[in-house]
Amino acid sequence: MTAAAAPRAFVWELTLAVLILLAAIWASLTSPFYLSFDQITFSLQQSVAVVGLIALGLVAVVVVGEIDISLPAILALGNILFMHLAVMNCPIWLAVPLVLVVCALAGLFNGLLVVAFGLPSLAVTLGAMGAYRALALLLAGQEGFADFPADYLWLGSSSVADVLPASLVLVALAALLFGFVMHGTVLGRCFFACGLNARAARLSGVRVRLVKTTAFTIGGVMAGLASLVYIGQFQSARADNASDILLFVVTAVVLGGVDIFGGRGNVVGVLLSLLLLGTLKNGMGLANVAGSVQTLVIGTLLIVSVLIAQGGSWTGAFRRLRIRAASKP
Amino acid sequence: MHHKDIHDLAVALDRGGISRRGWLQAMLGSGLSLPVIGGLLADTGVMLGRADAATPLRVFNVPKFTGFVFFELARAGGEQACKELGAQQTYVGTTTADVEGQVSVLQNIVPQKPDAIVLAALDLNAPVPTLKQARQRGAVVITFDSDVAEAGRDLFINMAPFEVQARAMLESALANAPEGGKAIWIAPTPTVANFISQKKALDALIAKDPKYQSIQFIDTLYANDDPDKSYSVGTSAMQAHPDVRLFISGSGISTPAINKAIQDTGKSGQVFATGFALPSTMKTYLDSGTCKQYALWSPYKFGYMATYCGILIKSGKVAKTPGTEIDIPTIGKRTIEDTGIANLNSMLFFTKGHDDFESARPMG
Repeated sequence: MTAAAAPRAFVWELTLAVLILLAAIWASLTSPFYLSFDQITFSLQQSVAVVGLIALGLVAVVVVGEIDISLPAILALGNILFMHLAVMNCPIWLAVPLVLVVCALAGLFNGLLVVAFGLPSLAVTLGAMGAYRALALLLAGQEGFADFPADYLWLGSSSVADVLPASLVLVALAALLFGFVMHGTVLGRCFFACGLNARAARLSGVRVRLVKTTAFTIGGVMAGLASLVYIGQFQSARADNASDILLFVVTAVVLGGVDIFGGRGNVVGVLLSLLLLGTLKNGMGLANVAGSVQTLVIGTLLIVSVLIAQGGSWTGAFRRLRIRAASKP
Repeated sequence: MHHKDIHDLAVALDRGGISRRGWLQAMLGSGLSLPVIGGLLADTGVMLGRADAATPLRVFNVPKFTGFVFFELARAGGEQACKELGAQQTYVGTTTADVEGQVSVLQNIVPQKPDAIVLAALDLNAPVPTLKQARQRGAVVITFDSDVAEAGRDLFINMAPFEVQARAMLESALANAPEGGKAIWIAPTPTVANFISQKKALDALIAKDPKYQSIQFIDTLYANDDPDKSYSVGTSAMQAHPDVRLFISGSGISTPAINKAIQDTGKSGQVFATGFALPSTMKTYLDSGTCKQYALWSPYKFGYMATYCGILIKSGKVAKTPGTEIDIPTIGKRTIEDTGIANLNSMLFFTKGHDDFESARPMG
C-alpha cells in the first residue's frame, strides 16, 4: 500500500460522513416526515439491511481482487430453501445453518471455478447468477410463498428492545466482525495482499487460492444471512427475489472506498456509504421523487465514486487525454 | 409591550444594524422573546392542526411501474375521481417491474400519513407487511389490476370476473382463428396473481363450454411484461412449436410484441396473437390483418373506480362490507363481493375500424 493511500482513505470517510449529514438535512427540509427516529430506523432497515449484509460479503470478494455478481441470486436460492424448510416444519435453529451451508457452498463453487481454472470472476459469476436463479425457479415451482412461521420472520421484522430493528443490529455486528477480521488479523492482511499483488503475495507465502476461495465462501454465507433478513422483511419468498439490488450493492461497496480492482478498502467506509445511500433513498422516497430519477442518482454515484477512487482527478483525466491525443499520428 | 422598546428597536434597525447587546436588551425589555417563541410554537401547532382538518384527502397512486400508457390512463382516471371528490393524488412508482422497489415506495408513503393508497401490486405477498402498517395508521388500501393477499387491503377492484375475462379472450381467439387450434399462454412471471387466475379461468371455461373446446393450450411462457422479451419468446415459440395457431396473453405489452414477431417472421394469417392489449399499440396489426380482434377494459375507468371507492370508504360514505352497493358515476352500481372484491366489468372488443376506446364494442 502506498503511503498516500492511507490519509486519502481517511479523507474519503470524512467526506462520506459530511455527505450523510447533508443528505439528512436535505431530507428533513424536503419532507416534514423525515425527522422521526422510528421513521429513519425503519427506512434504513428496509433499504440497508439486506443490501448491507450482501455488500459486506462482496467487500471480502472485491478486496481479494475478484467480484461475485451472483450474490443476489444466492439470496433468492436461500429464500426458496427457507420456504421448503418452512413447509417441512423444520425448526429455525436447524433451518438457518442448513441454508447458510448451502449458500456457502454456492459461493465456494464460484470460488473454485475462478481459482482452479483461472477464469475471470465476472464471467463465472454471471453464469452462476443465471444458474442459481434458475435453480431457485426450479425449486420454487409456480407460485410465491407467504406462510412462514413467526420465528423465521423474527430477524427481519422485529426490533431489539422495541427500539432498534434487529436486522440493523445484525448489520452492525457483522460490520464489526468484518472490520476486525479485515483490518486486525493476519487473515485480513492476506486478503488485502492477494488483492494488491497476487504474485507477490504468493511469493511471500500467502496461499492465494485458499484466500480467494475463502472470500467467495464468505460472500455466499453473507447472502444466506441476507436471505433470512429478506424473508422477515417481505414475509414471502419468490424465485425472482432481489433481482434488482445489484446496482445498489456494488454502489455501496465502491462508494465506500473499496477499490474495485482489489487490495484497498475499509469496512467503515462501506458502512458509511450504506448510511448515505439509505438516507438518500429515504429522502427521495419521502419527497416522492420519480423512480427513474432515484435510479439515475444511485447510478451516477457509482460512476462518480469509481472516478474518484481511480484517482481520476480532472487534471489527471486531461493529462491522459492529451497524451492520447499527442500519441495519435 | 412598551412603546419605548419598540422605538429603540426601530431606531436600531433603522441604523442598518443592531448590536448583539441591543437585540438582547430590546427583546428582553419588551418581553418579546417568550411570546415570540411560544407563539411560533403555537402557530405551528395550530397550522398543523388546521392542515389536518382542512387539507383534502391525500391519495397515493402506485402503479406496477411508471411510464406505461395503461397506468398513465389509470392515473388520469384517479386524478378525475380526486377532482370530483375534492381529494389530492400523488402518483409515484418505480421505472421497472421491481418488487422490492415497489415495497420501498410504499414504505416511504406510510410516514406521509396517506388517507388512501391505490395500488397495482407486483406481488401477492411482499407488499402486505407494509400495507398492514399503512392500514393500522388509518389508510384505506385499494388494489386494482393485480391484488395482494386479503390482509393487506380493504378492497380489490377487479377488471372483470375472471370467467368474463377468459370469455373475452377466447371470443377474441375464435374471432382470429374460427377453427381454434393449439395455443400458448403468455404471462409475465409465474407468480403474478391475476395471470394465475386468468389461466385457471381459461382452462375451466374450455373444459365447460363446448364452444371453446377447439382451443388447446400446449404451453405457458413467461415474458416479464417486457416487449423485447415477448418478441423473442414469441419468435422462438413459433420455431419450437411449428403447429402453434394462437398466442393468448393477458399482458398488454406481450400481445402487441408477439403480433410484431408474427408479422416480422411472415406468419401473418397462420398464427395469431390476441388477448388483452392497448389500442395505441395494436392499431397497425388490426389494419394489416395480423390481428383481427382483441379485448380490454378501460384503464381510465379502472383508475377512476379504484380511487373513487378509496375516497368514499375513507370518508365513511360507504362501508367496505360485502354486499355494499357503490354507485360510481359513468360506470354504474357495483357490489362488493364476499372476498372484498368489486368488478369494473366493462369489457371492450377492438376490431378494425373499432380500434379506440370510443369506438370499441362492448362485449355482449
